[in-house]
Amino acid sequence: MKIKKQSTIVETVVFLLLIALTLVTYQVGEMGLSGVNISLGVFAIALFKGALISEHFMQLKYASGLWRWMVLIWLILLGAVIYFAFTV
Amino acid sequence: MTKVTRYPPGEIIIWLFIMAELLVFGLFFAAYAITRIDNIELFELYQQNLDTTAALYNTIALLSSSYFVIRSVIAIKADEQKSAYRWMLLAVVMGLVFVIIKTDEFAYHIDNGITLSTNTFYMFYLSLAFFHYLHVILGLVILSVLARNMNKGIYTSKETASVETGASYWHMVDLVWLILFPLVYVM
Repeated sequence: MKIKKQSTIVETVVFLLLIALTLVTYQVGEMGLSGVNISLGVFAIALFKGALISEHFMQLKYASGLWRWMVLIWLILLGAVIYFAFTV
Repeated sequence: MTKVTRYPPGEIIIWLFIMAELLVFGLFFAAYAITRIDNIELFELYQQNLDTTAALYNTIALLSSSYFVIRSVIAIKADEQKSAYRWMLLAVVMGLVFVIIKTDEFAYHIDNGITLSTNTFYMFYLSLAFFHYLHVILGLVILSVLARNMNKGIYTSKETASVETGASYWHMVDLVWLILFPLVYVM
């Protein structure tokens, strides 16, 4: 019996978005932009990219409860530490 | 009605391993950021010596590799073994691109006499980058074994746990790099 293949449209859009966000981060570095707000903005992009990886590539969007949240919680905690370290 | 727990893909043991790895990398990132508080000028000065363009290429290589891996997982779930094998092979190639670029970066630093003891920034940069590099190499070994087994037709839509386990590890390696890149090279 032929198995219905899962669509790959979402994964492809996520991949292109990840590449686009990476280019934004690189461009910020190349333009020599600095300051706390720029750094935190760049890190916020990184955390968002991490969440995309967790949900769509690690496929944790299909898991329930804490299983779904484990990587997202790691990202949130990391974000809190970096926010503290860059604003203290 | 009983609530059904939906587990993450692959073997549960890999997720415990992934959480342990993320904890270690998280502590490493936190130590970097907290040490930076009292060494901002030093960190910003030596950060400029890093090759951000090489890091960009490496980020694109790992993201592409992760994308190819998820395509391979989706293909194997549809019993498309040949397609799954081709996607996995592409993932290995992009992982090798990362290793080649990173090895070149390490060689550049060694040629210029830069070591762990050069200063606090390089101590963090080299140890973080090398620790991650070792994870990439281990991930590549896993992906290569999966590709070889796919080529032999070992996996099917009913036997995907091994593929999903290896894939989850590789995405973790990608995830860590996505944090390392802006934190060490850009911010």
